[in-house]
Amino acid sequence: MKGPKPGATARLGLVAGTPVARARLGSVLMDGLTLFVALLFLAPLIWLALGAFKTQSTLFTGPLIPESWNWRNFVDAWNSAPFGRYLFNSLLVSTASTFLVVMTSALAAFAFSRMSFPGQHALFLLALATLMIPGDVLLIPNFLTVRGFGWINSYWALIVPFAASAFGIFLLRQAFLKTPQELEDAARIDGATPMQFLLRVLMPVNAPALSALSVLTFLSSWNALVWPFIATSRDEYRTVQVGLAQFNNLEGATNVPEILAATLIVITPVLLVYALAQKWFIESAASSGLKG
Amino acid sequence: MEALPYLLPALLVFALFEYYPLLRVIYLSLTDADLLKSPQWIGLANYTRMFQDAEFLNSLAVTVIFAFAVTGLEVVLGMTLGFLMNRKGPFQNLVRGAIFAPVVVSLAAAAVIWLHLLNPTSGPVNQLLQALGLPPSRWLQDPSTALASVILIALWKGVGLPAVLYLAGLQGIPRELQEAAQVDGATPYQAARWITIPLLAPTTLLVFFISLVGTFQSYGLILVLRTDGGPVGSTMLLGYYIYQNAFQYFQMAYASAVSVFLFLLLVFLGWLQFKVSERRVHYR
Repeated sequence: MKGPKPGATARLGLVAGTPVARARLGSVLMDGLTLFVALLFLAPLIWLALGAFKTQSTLFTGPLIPESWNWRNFVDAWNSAPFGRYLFNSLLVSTASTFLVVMTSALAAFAFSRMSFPGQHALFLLALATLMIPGDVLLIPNFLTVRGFGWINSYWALIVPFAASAFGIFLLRQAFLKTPQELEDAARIDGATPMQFLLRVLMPVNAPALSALSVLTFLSSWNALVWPFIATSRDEYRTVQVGLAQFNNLEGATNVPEILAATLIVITPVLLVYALAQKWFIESAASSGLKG
Repeated sequence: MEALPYLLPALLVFALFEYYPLLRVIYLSLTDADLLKSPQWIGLANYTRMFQDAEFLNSLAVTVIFAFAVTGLEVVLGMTLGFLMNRKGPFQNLVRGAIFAPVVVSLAAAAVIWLHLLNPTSGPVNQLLQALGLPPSRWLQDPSTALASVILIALWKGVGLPAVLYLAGLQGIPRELQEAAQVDGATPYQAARWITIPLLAPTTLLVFFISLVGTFQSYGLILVLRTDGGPVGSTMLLGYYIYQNAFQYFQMAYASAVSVFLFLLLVFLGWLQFKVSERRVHYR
């Protein structure tokens, strides 16, 4: 087989020193750098995933890929702390918070976008102003309130304070404002009440905005640490993040692979969903500009 | 009033868990409240004590260093990574997914992973350094490197968000502008320096303030990293200082005063963002 003509090699950038070759070399170098950066960010997670299958003695000294896959760590972690209960609590709390945030946000956004009433603008600003109050500043008074209600060590403490979101109201109001008026007129003519219109028409047609809000809310609830740490002290109501932190503190350095196994249990559900819907996740986060 | 039933659920939550506690924390900061006795009004005594307390002043300094280091690095790295994520190539999807993955990992898990990665005696990071002929470090256990270690962890966990915001910003820049620059003979560096980066100014402003406000609240890391604000106060972020005073020493009133101070600081930063965006960013 004959080699390509000189002209063709230059066009393909195979002749060193030509501008095309330099551009091509630059492109390969950039591909290499891109791969390196990707691995750099994944390295801690890869180390975690592999380490969870090692033994204490091979974790720091053995090869990166475990020689024998030690599933016991997961069983031991699962048995030495009530991770099943933690997972159940997190799932319950995150699901309930997400449902409530979506409902309270949709209701308020409906009033702010599709009705007009005195004080509307002022009330909207009052709701938005809560974005300026960081939750951590309110840690102490909210703890006292929840304690006053007798809610310490209950699901109420973990759900009710997070049942509404100014960001959610803002996001859904934007979406509702863009929905054509004709839809509402048609629903009215068909005899729908405003509530029926909201639940059966407005919310379904704005499914993308609702699902972005749901995912971001669920994620921040699932990952919440400081408040659940303060508001619960019994395993019965502890979420998975608090459980993990506590497990790490108790086990200390005595059985690191077991701690890694527990960590893997905690992050796998979220990472799995993320892996399936990566593009959409990134777009939701970029459009909201909010920390997850 | 027809709208009231729609507004009531959200407004009730805001009233009970946003506005009422804001007033209450201000009130508490002017008393001597702890968890036991009924609070007595003591005026500004907590605030006077705060500004004379070396631990508070140290915590404020640590927080400011942490906040500006993380924010500055998130802007610079976020923009760089945004460029990398925007570049077409065989690893484009991989690098996007990889950089953003730590954002969805919880703070608690990130802290646990890094606590063991940075283990001074046997941790993989020190092993890697030694393999490369570099000196190992005591990381979180050395007062001179502990804060830098926390910054490293916060960056790994957090820089994915600025990166995707820059990615979105880059995708919003009309192609013609870069093509025009190319036609005019601009090098890629010149195009970035004089066209792309200035056009990203709104993103930079957004990233700067999101990061800055976020860093004041990332003390959850300290809770799991078990540094307890140390060694010798080197990782005593203001949020942790509040947590420690309120829930370990039960000095609710004093911790409330620090909370109010933090709130005023954040309100000031918010006001600053508003002023800067009003004046300087015209591109949007």
